[in-house]
Amino acid sequence: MGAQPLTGWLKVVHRLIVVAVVLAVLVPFYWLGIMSVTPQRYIAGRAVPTMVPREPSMIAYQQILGLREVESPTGRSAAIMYRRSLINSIVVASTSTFLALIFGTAAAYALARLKFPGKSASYVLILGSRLLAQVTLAVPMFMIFQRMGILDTYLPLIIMNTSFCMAWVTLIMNNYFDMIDAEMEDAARVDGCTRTGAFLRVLLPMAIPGIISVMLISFLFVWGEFLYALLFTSTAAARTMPVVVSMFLGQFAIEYRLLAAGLVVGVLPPVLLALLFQRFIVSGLTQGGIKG
Amino acid sequence: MKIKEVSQQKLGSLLMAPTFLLILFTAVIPIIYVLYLSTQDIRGIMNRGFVGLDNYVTIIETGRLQAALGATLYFAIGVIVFQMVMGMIIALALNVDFRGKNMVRTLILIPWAIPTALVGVMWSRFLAATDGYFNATLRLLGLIEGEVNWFLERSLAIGTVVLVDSWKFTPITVMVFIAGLQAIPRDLYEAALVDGANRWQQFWRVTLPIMKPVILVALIMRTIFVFHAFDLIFILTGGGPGDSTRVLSYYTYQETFQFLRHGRGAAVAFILFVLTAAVTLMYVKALREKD
Repeated sequence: MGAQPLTGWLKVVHRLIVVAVVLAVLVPFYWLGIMSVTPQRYIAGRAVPTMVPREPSMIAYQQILGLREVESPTGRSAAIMYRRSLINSIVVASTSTFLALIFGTAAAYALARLKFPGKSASYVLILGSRLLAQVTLAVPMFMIFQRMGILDTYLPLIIMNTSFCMAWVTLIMNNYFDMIDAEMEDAARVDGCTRTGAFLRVLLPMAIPGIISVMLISFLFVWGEFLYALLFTSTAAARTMPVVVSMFLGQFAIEYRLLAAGLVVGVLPPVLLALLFQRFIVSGLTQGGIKG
Repeated sequence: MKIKEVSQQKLGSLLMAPTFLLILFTAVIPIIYVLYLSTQDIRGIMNRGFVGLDNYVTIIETGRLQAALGATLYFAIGVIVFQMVMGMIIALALNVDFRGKNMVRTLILIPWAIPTALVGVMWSRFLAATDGYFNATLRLLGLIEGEVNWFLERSLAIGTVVLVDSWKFTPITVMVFIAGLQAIPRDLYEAALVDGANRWQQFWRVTLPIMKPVILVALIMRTIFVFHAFDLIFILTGGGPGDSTRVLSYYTYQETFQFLRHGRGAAVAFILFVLTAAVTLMYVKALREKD
């Protein structure tokens, strides 16, 4: 804050805050890393679980990814379920993100560039839908999906996640299109471009940063979505990764390092995306946070 | 011109149709349906028909609704106060130039990016009384002695969930605040400096007043999402000890999916909806005033 650089004790306080923030973020990952490579006997039941690697190995990672057998039957079926859940998560997250992008961008374009009946009502509906509690919707939707006979398939997860992300995509892309001057498209259309041509050749290229950020945020949301995945699935067929990992907790037959390896593999995609595309995510989030 | 307008209307409706229909199916109809369900006596797979407001009366008479509202309130206050204050402190710290600033700004995104449920699983393991890393580290540092069970006592349990929630969600407040801070023109501080204002005064007289709308919106957004918090409670405490962390969203889940009393669950769900709608209206009003 302010124009002048920090001096004296303020500088010390500032550095302390920064160090504390860095430690608060990184130390849990250190713990997680140690846990994932250490045999059970150095951690379980110990007053001080080992803080440094002891007999470190990648066994748990090989086990969770199916490159090596797990000895205990419970652990073996856990690892199989985990791998299946990763596939389920990838299918649900990419399908929902793709659909949300298509529907949301179309709706955002309509809101930003076209006049049509029910426009402001649609906007309010989209804004409002994003603010509903998942659990409020889960109660009636469970009964609806049950009647449709599609519980324990990908469909309810894709439907609910697409709906939520689509609203987000619409609002952010609408902001984006609003910021881009419509005159450039008008000029292109005077030059003989069709509306579709002007959208594809003029507007879309300029909106690419926005599209990347909503795509990432949607994917991260669905990858981590828990409540619908918990309630609308009942077997390994459609259970997503977060649900399966949560089921590992408190199962004594599952070694801590298997749990930790499952956690590391599960958090790796979002962490990498966040680190690689930080700029896009921050711009999408702050827009969403400030403008709604 | 007329033809053009008609075609515009058609195209607009066509492009809006999928979004509109999906929201109708996944947001509008379920809200109406949940209101209907809340007037039915549904237990297990039996629907014993219309009972008016009985479900609402029951959840109030048993005191469960009030308890859930209380837990939600404690949890919300804890989360909001902690994350707003910490968010502002961290945002201010990361808005100053220092070496590694961009790296730290990237780093704080990591907890936000991790699925909430996995954050819960991680911390649940770390916070284990006997062999958890959190206790072990505190013990090594001499900050605690023996085993501390972070979920044993009511207010401690709430505080622990608030802290884990903050580990995950403070980053979003930080990012929104940093964006707000960056938009403050530098000459305002220079002017304040000329007037002899020290840093403290600059913060209260320049930063805070300008940041007010940003803070307000962040506050309301956080409030709405705190009402929705479910994953961490489900994984860390299961609503306990007693009913101390049984917030409204968790209570809805329990009535509907654990006790299979869908009618009562729907009543709680509808009350949660009304509360969310009320906060949302505040939000829209605040945005209007901002413009």
